[in-house]
Amino acid sequence: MMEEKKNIFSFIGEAFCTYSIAVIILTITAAVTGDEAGEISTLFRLGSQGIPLSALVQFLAVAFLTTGLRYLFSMDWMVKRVPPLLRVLFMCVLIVACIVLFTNLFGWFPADMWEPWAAFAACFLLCFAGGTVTMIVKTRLENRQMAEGLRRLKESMGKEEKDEV
Amino acid sequence: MKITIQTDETQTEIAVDIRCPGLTPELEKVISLLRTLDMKLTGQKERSTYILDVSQVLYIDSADKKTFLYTENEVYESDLRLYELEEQLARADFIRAGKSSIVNLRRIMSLRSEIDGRIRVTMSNGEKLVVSRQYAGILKQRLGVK
Repeated sequence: MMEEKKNIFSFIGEAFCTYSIAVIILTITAAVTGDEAGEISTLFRLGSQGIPLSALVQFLAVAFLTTGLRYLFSMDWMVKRVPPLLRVLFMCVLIVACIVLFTNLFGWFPADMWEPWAAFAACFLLCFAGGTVTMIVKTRLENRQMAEGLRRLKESMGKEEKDEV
Repeated sequence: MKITIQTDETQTEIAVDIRCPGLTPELEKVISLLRTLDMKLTGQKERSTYILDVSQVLYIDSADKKTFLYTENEVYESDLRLYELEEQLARADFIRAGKSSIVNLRRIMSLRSEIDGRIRVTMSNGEKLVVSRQYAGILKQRLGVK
């Protein structure tokens, strides 16, 4: 019995999960600042009325691309060959490159304005820091649960041995 | 090879008699397999054969088509393949740690989950092993974490 391997369905599920979070954030942003942002961004060209269909398709493509990158960097052969820090670094660089490409291709925001880039960098760092902290907390919690599980298992094994005697 | 089975209700335990002109590698393998049923393992070291209690073995690994049994301070070679030992030792709380190793749960001192999904295991002699991501889930299940 092996651990359940990731398959195409888990990939699609995760991509749609990322997509739905992005669309929720985009919708809230459009509702709050859509009218002003619509003057400089194609994402908000409908103002506070909603998100253009083209932007939704572009975000879907980004969601699939970034999920694909995450899967690529968590593949067994990659984990075995590339140190964790280097993997995270490569993954971040490729995700940022992907966003930069989409920004320039579809005019998400003017490339010559520093404010949107700063906002993007802040969002990215915030999400990255949040993800890292969550992962560290999850690992610590798991370590505590495993130590407890090992203690319980050894107790039950000791009891079985006594019963056999 | 002639196989004779005698049933006797007065017998209190199973006895296996092997009559042969000499020991062959195949026969030694059969004996090793029989010993696992009795929770004993046969290990060779410096041309001598040792009978080990399963509980003495910390972990087992294979390299270059050879299987090695690791105790607190010694290493022995086994006649059996890793998959054969895995099948026999599952009831003795041995679990797969990777494609080429199985560990004795009873001899794990501590374990630590890594961010990349692997589990670093410290055995009772202080030796450190890694449970691959592929098998980490099984270990977690055994520990009641998953």
